[in-house]
Amino acid sequence: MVAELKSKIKVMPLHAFVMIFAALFSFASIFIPMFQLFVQYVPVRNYSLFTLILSPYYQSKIRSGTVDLNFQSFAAGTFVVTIVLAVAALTLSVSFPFYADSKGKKKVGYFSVLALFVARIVVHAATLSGMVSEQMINSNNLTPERLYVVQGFAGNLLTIVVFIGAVAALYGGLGLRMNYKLFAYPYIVWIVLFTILPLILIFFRAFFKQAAGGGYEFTTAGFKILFANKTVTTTFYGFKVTLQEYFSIFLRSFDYAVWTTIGCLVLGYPVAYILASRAKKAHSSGSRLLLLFVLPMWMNTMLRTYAWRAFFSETGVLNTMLTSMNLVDAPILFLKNEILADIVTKLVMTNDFLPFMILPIYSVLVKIDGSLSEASLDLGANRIQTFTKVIFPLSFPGVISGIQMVFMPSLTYYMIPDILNEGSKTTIGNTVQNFILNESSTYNQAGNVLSLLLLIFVLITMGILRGQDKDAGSGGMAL
Amino acid sequence: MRFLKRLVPDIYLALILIFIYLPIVVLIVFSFNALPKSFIWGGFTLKNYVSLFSGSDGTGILDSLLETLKVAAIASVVSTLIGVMSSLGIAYLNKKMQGLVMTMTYVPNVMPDLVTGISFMLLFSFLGVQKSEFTLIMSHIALCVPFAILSISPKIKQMDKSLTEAAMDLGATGFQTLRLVIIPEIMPGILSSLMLTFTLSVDDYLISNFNVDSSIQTLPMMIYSMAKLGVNPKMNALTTLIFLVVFILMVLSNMSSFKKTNNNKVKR
Repeated sequence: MVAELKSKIKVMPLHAFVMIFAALFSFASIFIPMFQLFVQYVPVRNYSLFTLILSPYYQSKIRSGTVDLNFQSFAAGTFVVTIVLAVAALTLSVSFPFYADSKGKKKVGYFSVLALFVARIVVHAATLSGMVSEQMINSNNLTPERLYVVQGFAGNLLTIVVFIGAVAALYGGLGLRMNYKLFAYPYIVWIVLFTILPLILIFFRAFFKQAAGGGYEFTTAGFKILFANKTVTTTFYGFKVTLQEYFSIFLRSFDYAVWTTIGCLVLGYPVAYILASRAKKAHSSGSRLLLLFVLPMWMNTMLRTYAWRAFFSETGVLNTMLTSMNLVDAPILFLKNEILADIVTKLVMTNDFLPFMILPIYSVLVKIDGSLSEASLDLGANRIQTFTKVIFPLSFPGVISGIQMVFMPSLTYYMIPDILNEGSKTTIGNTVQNFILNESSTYNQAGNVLSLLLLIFVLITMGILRGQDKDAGSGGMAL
Repeated sequence: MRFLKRLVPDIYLALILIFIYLPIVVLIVFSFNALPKSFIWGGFTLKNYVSLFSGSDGTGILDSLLETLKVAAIASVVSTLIGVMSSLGIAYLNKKMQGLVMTMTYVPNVMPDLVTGISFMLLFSFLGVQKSEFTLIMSHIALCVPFAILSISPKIKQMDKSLTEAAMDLGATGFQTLRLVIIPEIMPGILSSLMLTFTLSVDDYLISNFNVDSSIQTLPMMIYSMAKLGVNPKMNALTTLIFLVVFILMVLSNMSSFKKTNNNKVKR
């Protein structure tokens, strides 16, 4: 008998073990404290269902006196339901080896365990929300925000474990064979939840605001703020221009982003080219040098920007060096002069995004067959022609994904201009952030509209870049 | 003349390296600065490093470092797990579905972080989830999953499909095939995904900023709030140490991979 059971356990599938483990944990969790009671934002006690039934009366001293809590009627009810569910699930899943021979019985077993697990989670959630009754709140003169229960770490663990157990039971119940295709479906749900739904929400919230009585109502308040007929005078390249308030902010961000992209391309392409040709000649010397160019990515961008400020500031490193060598009489105001400050900002942004340009171009260049350029040289093209007619067109996908990786983030990455200019240069990122985190809901609305416009702008730019080359993007994942 | 011509690429690389490493050198030098929160050199000191390890100093730098590392560790491991499973699943979908799913994976990848952060914030408020450490971790995982998939799924595509078929034919269960055949085959992709997602999460400011309540402060958030008023030199000290650790790890891993390629050459 025992030997027979042993051999049956040996051939038990993995998901049955997972199911048994989940059932065991769901039973044990009755005795594990996982409900945390908060009175006036202070955690006063950890409960398990078991301790709750042992001491349904609870009196706690808090700063403003004492609170009397009575879980009596509640505790008995949930305890009985939970223990029935947990014991049933445990019995059914532990006895799995005994009915595993019959296909029909197995199916019934799996599905009833699944149903019990789902019920267990529902009861757990109901317990969590129902533990503090209105009567308890009223009799202690508290508000629901000041008397509440949350689940602790053990509660989170229970939810996850039982969920996994339910998935295992479903898997067994449907009699699925391990088919890797199945793994794609949870990811499709994930995409819907974390990609498609947020995009829809951005679109939706640009036009609708939360109404006072609940629900949503149509509004154009955000558009009104953004396109208000209000002009400001700013300096661009030394010229004073009067523009619509937010258009000038957009223009400045665009200006920064374009020059950053150009700077990265001009400085980064030769680097990628040299490294790639080295990597082809001597094995791995180029790729090891590449690491040196990528390493600064592990250093926080904002600290590096701050260091640049230390370098360029009035009393900073560069000015100290220049004055001590008697090259200038008075320190140069790199960050106070409008034109110089713009140049310095673009330079620092270029410095920050350079690795993102070098990497994709390198990864495309290094794959280009060396014999192609040899053939071109043999056929009478000179070096410049070989580069412009053969190498550069072939490396175009890398350039496209490099531009994509530099231009898009630099458009909204407001921290660099902000830190460098001590907040005197507002870019589009700042504006969105200030709108969204603003207390006023009309400004929030404007932030939603602005992020929608930004999203549309980015997607259009993306589409244009993608249209240039179908394979773009694959180079960008060399990271 | 020829000799000079051959030197030009070297000089160019050196100049660019100087340009890239200039702020880092300034940062490291100023981590030894005796004057607090200043660009002015006030003499050499080690007290920034010493006080970093002398326990609580009231600045909370170590707390936010631990918080950042915790969030990054969870986010990178979970998103890589999801990445392995999903890219395996995607590889077995039909062509049309595959194209659709991969396009939807690219979209968050090219969205600016700012918009991603806002979209997650809207999502959480739509679902009625309060901002907390949970939303911080969830938003980081959601940020990292597309990157994990994009670094793992090329490796799965390169993998010889007949390997898994052979394993199945020889009697391995689906799980055994996954564990003994597929995972070892795509290990480089998994490692690079772990590294990439960890870096993304550690360095992220924009997404954390929108998805966390004021009780939690990650290191980048702390740095940004400091950078306006003047950075505590302790922060420089901490970053210098982190940089050194990463640098040493890089050198070590590079040396071991160098040895491996040498051994392979000898064997051949």
